[in-house]
Amino acid sequence: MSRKKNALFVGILTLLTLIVLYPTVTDFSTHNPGWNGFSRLKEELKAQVIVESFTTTLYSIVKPEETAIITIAYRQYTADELEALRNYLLQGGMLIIMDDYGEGNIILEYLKVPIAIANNAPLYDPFDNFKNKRFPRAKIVGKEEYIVLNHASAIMISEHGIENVKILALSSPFAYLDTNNNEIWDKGEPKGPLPVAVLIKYGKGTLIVISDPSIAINSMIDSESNLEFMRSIVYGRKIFLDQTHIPKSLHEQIKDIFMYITDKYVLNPIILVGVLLVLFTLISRKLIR
Amino acid sequence: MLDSLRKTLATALLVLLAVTIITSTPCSAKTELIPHEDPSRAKEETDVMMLLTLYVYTLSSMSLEDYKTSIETFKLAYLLKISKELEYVVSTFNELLRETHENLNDTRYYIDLAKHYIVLMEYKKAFYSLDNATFHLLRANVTLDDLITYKQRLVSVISKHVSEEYVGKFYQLHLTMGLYLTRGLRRLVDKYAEEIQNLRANIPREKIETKGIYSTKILLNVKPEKVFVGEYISISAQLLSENSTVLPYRIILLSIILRDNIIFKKEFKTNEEGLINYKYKVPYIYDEYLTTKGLVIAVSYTPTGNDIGLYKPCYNQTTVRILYQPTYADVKGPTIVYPGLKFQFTLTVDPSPTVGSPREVKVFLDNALLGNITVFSRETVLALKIPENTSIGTHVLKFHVEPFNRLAPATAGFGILVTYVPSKLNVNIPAIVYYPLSNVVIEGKLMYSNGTPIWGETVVINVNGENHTLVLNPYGDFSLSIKPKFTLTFNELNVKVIFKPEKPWLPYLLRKSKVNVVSLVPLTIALLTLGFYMVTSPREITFSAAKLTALFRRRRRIMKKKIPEKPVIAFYPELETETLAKKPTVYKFKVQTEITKLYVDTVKLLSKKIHPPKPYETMREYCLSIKGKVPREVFEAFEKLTSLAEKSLYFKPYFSSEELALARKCYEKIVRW
Repeated sequence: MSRKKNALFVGILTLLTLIVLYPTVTDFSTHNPGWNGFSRLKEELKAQVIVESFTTTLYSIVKPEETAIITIAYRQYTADELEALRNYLLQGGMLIIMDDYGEGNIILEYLKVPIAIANNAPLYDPFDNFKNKRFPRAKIVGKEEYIVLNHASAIMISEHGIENVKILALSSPFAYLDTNNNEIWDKGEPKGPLPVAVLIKYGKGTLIVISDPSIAINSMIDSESNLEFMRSIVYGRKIFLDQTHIPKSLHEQIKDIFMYITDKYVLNPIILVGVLLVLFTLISRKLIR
Repeated sequence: MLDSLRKTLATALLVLLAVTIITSTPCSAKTELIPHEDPSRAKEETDVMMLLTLYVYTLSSMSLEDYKTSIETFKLAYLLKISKELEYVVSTFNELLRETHENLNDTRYYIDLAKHYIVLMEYKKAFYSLDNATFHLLRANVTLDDLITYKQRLVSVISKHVSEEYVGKFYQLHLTMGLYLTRGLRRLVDKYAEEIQNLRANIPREKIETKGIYSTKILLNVKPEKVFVGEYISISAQLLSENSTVLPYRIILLSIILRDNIIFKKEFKTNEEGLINYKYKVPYIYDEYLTTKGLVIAVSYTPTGNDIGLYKPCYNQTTVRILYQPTYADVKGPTIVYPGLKFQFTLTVDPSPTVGSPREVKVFLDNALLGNITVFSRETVLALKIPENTSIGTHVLKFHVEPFNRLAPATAGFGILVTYVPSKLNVNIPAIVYYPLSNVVIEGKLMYSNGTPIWGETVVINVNGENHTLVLNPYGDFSLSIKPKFTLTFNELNVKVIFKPEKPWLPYLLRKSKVNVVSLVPLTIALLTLGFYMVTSPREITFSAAKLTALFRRRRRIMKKKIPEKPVIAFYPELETETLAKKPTVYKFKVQTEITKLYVDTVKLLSKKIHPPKPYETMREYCLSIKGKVPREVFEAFEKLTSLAEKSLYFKPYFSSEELALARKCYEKIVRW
């Protein structure tokens, strides 16, 4: 019986060790050290990762004006989450939405800001690019520096709100939005220069929209001024990296839960002291016998 | 020890199975677009289709003589990123195209200049301009030939860089380019040549050099200097000789010129005071050029009849500024609109139209007429329906206010973004389904972004190519449950949820996902086996490594010689009882029997006459080797003898008297030969 227990314990331990040590391949994951991960971004910005309870985390931030939240909008936001984001912005926080599919538009619509991310329309630039048109270059406004995008989209600004929006980065005049996805510019398709990163003041806070989250993946962060651009917009703030709105594999989910439990319970000083006391008692009893 | 080893192995296998399932489960993608690609693996590409499109646009503008647009388009071709392998070919083609463009443009310029001088009756300058035009046309002709030849090379090189998907489009563009080069530009060259020829013919040779004794002059008086459209200009001109004596009854040509175009031309005869008078009504032309540069009033005198050689021709001109009252138009309305729906726009026209003097307005969407309306007040609210077939993207709504007497036309443009009504398609597709316990249940909801459900529309769910059409209920919900097919291990289902709207303002939505069907059959078998091993006592099943290895041991094929039941006869050939099957050669047996003796003698005889058997040759091989070298009957005899010898060796040590007689007969036949 005791052997069976031992085998079960060893099995579970091995399983957990493998899950924790085995790197994930999920896009934009901070656990992913591969080309499509966000592990470098987390390190460079010394970001704190939000893996669970997004709304609770937002409400628990004491000084929103000293923080910035980076969210990759690849999954739906609940009504509570949207309200929490609005409150966070109103209290002076900085929200950075990175999205190239248009899923982030739900936040923009909720906040009633005059901008939208082009929905399912890739931005191509056959003239000013890195390697090919799917990697367009965008100029950082006010600087002679560029960021390199990777399968990006663009931001549409409504005419009536143009004076409230500050453009941070613009594509070249030759870029275009391929709305019908045929990889060729057709008559009527929006032509550059198109904004790819914009800033808008919201209450006391700042909303930044970037139409490509891939500028910060491990393989792109060192391209041109991508890292400097990310650093410059969040300068002096404590960064929170939202990982709750990216599609995750089962491996990633288990890993997140494990990390969350480890952070919250296992590394809790009271629980740790309790566990040590129990161990000490058990060992001392054995020694007395 | 072995028991614990088995249990450890089983646990490790279960752990590995769990890890494999966990790590191999993919995360579902929301759309068909990929979020990014690895930049280190990305290839350097030239957008060949874009390059050809730019060439086609450039050539199209060139053939329409719109050189300004063509050079602007062509500049883009220079800016296009070209990979190193294409650099040489593309740059050479670009250079040839640029030269052709420049020469044709210069030809056009000099032809126009010549026309201008002809209008102003400066024939000498016109003649020089035509010479320049001819020179540039000749150069254009040469470079065009090179361009047509080089185009073939360009196409053959860049065709390798076209993906299969765009081959059709590529050949379409390539053929269009060919047509523009061989037809469009060639025709243009011919047209210029004809134009130059006609202009040369129109220039009167005698007027190139002015001959005459007395010079003349025309005093031109035009009133007023500034005039509104639709009003009259009074023109009077007096022809005088160099000593200011009037020249009566002479012909004076009056020309009114707008931007190098003669809009009015008439000959007048001077009266007895050498004067001509004319009242000209300014046409309703609302051109800023007329306000800034003015309308040119030109008069000229060319001696005719007896005056030729006596008087020199003369010319005078002045300008009159034409005024008009500008109209201002402005439009306001929603910037984001949806196809097929009506939207209100407010048009403001200044000066304000009245019931007595309304203004006609034409509404265009990207130059396509949407409708005509009459405006009676300063502000008018117009309800416009955006056509259902309008493409998604930015468009320009144009409100063109028509001119009215002195009031100039005006155009108010308004940029609109035609898009779909923001809608959401929430789909719930399971990532893993365990066969045979659960079904694949696909659920979803379609709604506007504000949460209002969309109903009455249909959603198509495609599962591995099989379509299921579902109608949305009043809450916008839909649901589909499919039983997965038999799966032994793993299976992957590609699920696509497609929403193709009937209403034009709703977007086409697509959600893709993969469902992993994990069969519980192997796990059940594994668990049952494990259970069996755990329940049964280890002593009951003997575990032997030798047994296991025996399963994988390679078996050699061994031929064992059956030992006949009869006792072995002394003269029987000595064959090993355990050896690999191989027939003995001619030299490998000892002669013991009557027949084998005869066979050996025959072989000796044949060895002398033809050739001896080779060491590796069998009896039959030797027999066949002599087939073509002996007569047929000899060969047949030897064949029979060989057969009998073989029999005696392998099967039948004893033989009948008939067989012995036959063998002797054969031997004798061979000996006789």
